[in-house]
Amino acid sequence: MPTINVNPTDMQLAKYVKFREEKFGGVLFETRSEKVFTLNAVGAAVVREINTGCDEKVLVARLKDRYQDRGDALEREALAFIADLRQKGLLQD
Amino acid sequence: MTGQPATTASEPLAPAAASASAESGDLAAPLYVAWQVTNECNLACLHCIEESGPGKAFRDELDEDQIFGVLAQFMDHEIPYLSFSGGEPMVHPLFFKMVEYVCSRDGQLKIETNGHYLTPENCERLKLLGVKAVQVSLDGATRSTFNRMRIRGDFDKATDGVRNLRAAEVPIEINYSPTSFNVHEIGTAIDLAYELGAYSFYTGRAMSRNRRKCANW
Repeated sequence: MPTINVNPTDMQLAKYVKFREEKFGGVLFETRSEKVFTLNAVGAAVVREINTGCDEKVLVARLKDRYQDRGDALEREALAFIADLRQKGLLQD
Repeated sequence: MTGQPATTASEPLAPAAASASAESGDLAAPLYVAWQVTNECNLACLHCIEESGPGKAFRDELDEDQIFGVLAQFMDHEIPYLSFSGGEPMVHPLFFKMVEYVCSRDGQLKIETNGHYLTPENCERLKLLGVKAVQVSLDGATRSTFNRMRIRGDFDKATDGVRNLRAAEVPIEINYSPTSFNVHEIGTAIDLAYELGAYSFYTGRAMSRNRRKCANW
């Protein structure tokens, strides 16, 4: 049976947080507090990458590659968003 | 959080953030479904808005194929959060099969119950199946108040049920419907909920739609 190696630095959504993609981006639903956060397309892209299992460096590299970003705006904003997710208890490391 | 979607490198990259304009009509499916799975109940509470009780199951309640057809639709549409209530959901003959189905498809499920069927074995089973939480109705901090409100109910059975949830490490929520004859106990009930290990305590205005006994609450 194949095994999945999980890197200890990989991020993941907190236990009671569910993500669903939507036309406008996505939603994060924290079901313990019953709070819903709506995400735009970039937010949804970040969460999609988190769900694949990766650390912040890998996530930023993937997004920069996808959006062909040569500056630092994407990195800055993705990391700020991740910090916000963490601060709101939506991520567990 | 506010921001605009960024789709190409040439567009300014805004914070990946909440969109203030998203409303429920923009969603592909509901985010939460509260399902009253049966109108049958072992109790006949004074305040029950559904007038549930023994022998009160609706004649046209869904059969097994219909139930699992509906649940499949919920999960296919990625509805992330469901609750089962009633009536008393745990008297439904397919209750555990329904719980198992939702949890096996990664849905987050809350059970809203009167707590009378929360035996150690059932609590352990709910834990193993992975329910998000069990909400128990405790409309009083004393036996006399609780039993006055919850006809055929047993305060000790309900609180023992909550203790069994705690022993099985199932997250606990307590619900309290206030009335003129139990509101004085609400502070004690909050303390009791804390002692019983609840992480949440809900209350709100009691909805006494039909039962005449509630007329002057």
